[in-house]
Amino acid sequence: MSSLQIAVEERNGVSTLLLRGELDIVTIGKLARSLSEVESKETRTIVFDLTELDFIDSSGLRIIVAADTEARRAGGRVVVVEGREAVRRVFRHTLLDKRLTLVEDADEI
Amino acid sequence: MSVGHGSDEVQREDLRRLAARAEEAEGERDTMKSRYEDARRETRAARRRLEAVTRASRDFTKSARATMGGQYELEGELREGLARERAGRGEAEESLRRMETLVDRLGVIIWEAEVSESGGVERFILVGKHCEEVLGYPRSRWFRSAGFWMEAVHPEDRDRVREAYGSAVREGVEKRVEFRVFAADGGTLWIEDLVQPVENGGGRVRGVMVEVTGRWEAGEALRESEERLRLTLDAARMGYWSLDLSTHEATRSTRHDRIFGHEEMLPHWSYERFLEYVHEEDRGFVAGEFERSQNTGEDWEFECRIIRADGEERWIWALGSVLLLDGGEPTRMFGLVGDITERKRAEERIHRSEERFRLLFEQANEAVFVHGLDGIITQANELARESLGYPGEELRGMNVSDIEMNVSTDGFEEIWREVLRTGDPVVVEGVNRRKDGSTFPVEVSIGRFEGEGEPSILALARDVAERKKAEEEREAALDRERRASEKIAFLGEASRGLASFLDLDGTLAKAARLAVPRVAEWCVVDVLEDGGNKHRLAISFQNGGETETRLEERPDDEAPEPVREVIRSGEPRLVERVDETHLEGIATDEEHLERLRGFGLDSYAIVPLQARGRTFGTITFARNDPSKRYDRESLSLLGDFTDRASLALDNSRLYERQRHTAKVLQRSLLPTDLPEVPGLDIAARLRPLGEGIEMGGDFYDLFEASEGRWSVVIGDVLGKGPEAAASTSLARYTLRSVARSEGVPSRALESLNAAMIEQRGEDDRFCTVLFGNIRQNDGGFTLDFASGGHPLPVVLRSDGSVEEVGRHGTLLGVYHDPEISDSNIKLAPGDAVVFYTDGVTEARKDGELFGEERVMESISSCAGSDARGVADHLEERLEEFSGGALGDDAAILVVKVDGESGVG
Repeated sequence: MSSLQIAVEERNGVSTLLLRGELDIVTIGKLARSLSEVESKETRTIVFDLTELDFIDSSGLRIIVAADTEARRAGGRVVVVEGREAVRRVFRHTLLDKRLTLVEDADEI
Repeated sequence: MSVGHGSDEVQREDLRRLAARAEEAEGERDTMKSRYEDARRETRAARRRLEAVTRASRDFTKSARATMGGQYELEGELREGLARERAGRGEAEESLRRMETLVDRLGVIIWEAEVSESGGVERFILVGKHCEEVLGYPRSRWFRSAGFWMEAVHPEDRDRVREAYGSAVREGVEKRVEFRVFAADGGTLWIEDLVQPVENGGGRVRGVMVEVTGRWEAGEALRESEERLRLTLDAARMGYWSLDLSTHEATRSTRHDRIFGHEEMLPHWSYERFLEYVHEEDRGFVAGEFERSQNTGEDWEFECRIIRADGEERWIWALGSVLLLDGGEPTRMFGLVGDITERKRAEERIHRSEERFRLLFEQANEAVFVHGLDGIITQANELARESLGYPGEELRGMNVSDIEMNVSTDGFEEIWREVLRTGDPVVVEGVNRRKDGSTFPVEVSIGRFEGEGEPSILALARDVAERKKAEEEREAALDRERRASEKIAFLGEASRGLASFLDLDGTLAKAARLAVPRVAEWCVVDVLEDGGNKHRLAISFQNGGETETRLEERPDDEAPEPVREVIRSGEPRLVERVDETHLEGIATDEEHLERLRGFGLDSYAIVPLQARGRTFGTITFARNDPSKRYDRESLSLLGDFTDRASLALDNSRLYERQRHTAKVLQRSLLPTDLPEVPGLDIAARLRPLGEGIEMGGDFYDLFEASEGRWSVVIGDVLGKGPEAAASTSLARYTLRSVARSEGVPSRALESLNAAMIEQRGEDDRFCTVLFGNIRQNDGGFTLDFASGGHPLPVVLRSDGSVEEVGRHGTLLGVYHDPEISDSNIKLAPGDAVVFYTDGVTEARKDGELFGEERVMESISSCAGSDARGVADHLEERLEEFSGGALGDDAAILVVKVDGESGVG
């Protein structure tokens, strides 16, 4: 059983990846696969919903940052819904909270 | 465990192949089983056939022997009987002839007459031809009237003559009388007359008259001769008969009638009566001969069957001699008769038995030979001739050793002698050779044959090629099945055994151990290192009852030539039988040669270890047990085993190489020794993930950037592996060069950021770095520092207080415009600053993070410790917390200012 569960939701041109569990070197592969599927559908907005994510490390960051860079280049955008403190912290320490689009909850999108 | 990317596919391919092979082996085994069953059935059937044949031939041998034995007995008896008969007949004939000669020569008169008890002659039956000569009267006078004779006798002697004749009849005894007779010319002759009564002839007597006027001896001789005749006849158990050819009335001896089944003499007998006793099938022949002899005057001699008075069929022999009187007219025949039934029966029995033997001999299901102790074949039946390809009579006279290959080698002569001695048959195996030179296996039953002369050897040879073939097939099928089972079991064990090892030494040793003693008495697993210049070996061998395993290394030029050859060619090599010159070719030095000799190397095979398309070593399997010598089939099993070992060993090599590379790289990436900085006490800990197989992304550095200015770096490349390592070296070396000229930490990090963005290849490479400069200042130190996305350092004051210092910055390598700010702190003697990576704070246990609080706690509890103590303690707390579970890399760098402040 993977320690990361991903649920993909699509609505009105917005693809949401709901993450639950831990996003680290072991599980990023799974996220990468889901993400590439979503990206291939040419949605304009990709949402990483991290409200139920317990942990993210540098490898998880990498994926999100790379998705963001790619989206900007392609004219779309990436939104990250923040969740637990452990996860928020990481974005804060790297000042990515200033670079990525972070929201408190999904309604704000 | 991670293996370099490109080999995954090859590995999977190897695994698939092996799985297919295993399936094949299972299938083979099923086929083997059913073939074995078939062979077993065939063998059982062949065995039953063989038993039947064996029984039949044993029966034959028994009956042949019985017949032979019986025949021999019969022949013995026959020979005796024949001898006696011949003797008797010969003598009887001789006596007759002699008597006739005498009669002829001596002018003796033989007569026969019917005489009354008073001695009067009533009638003459027979008178010899000399009567005319001697007495001058024509023969016919005697037959005309019987009284004639008495009148010729001198009157003074008549009483005496009558008395003699009469008492001969009355008493049945022989009487001799001398008297005078008046000859025709008026002269007087003295006659001596020997009168015999004819046995049970009524008043019949027989007499012999001799003129004895001076010829006495002649009579004696004659008497003797007659006597001998009688005796001879008795001895030969023959009967005597005398036949009147005109009346066909016959007189005969008692024995004669007995031959025809009458104990008591019959009153009358005639030729016709005789014929009635003759077997109807023989009558014509007998009568015909009778006629012929009368016409030709030749003897009437024949053998025929009679039906005796008691009904029994008998065989008789008879001889009749014609007596010619009166100008050649046959008037009488007299002769002998004898019962030859026993002999005839014996002859028949022998004939029948011979017939029977002949039949069995010729029609036996086996090839049958009769030969002597010298091996010369005297008889051979049709099958023998056929099976060996010799036509007609060729076999007779040949020696058995020309036919049977093993005669001399297997001591057949001894066997023959023994069989002749005991008479007990013996069964041996042999090989027969045909005329054309081809051979076939046989089973030979050897017995004693008793025919004429010395006993000889009777040999029955059964072609057992079929049975042998069935036996061989069965053996081969059993052997194949056994080998298949063993093979599968062994390979299964090998797979399991090799799967669990990662380190090369362990895998080498395990592979070598698995092979001994199942498939080898000595096994060397040899793997190339260092570009082919070095061999790493595991050697397993039997020592006493145990298997010993040793690990060794040797340079390539010390490897045996055959091993190097196999590595070069990539082809296995098999040597089924090793001799001395071969040993010398293998041995690399004297000691090695001694060891090989001591081991008693008999056969060996060298199989290449191959993976990902290349030969990277060999496995040498060696045997010193000739009964387990390797052959082409063994090579298949050894090859399967080596395939599995190849996979495991290749993985181990890769693992080792990775680890080695990682260590080397890591060492090159990190300062092996932290430089001595006057006034500072420095300690560092780096704990890369996974025991060095992966190269961590964490790094630290400490160097003198310019005079009096020491740069300190701690960073985390977000990732693992060689690419990450490359980024860490980029980071370190970029900072080292930038720091020389750039004294402001934030600007140095900006330069690094730009360099990283520029160097960005396929993969985005981000990192977090904390960079600082330490300078001496007023008895203490100052630290200027900036963070690019990295956790902030913690200061431990000498009073034990701890605080996090600095401001967060953007992580590096992503954005062109990172926000990075500088901070500055003063460090008094006894103060320490602790730098770390997020592997520390993000260490997890059951969902809980180690976190900053624990870091601060741990550090604060180290007030007063030296730098090493602080680092150790934090590391310990970290280990304790995560319980050894693998998390992220973690790096800790502690810089403490020497000296004390206040507290001693």
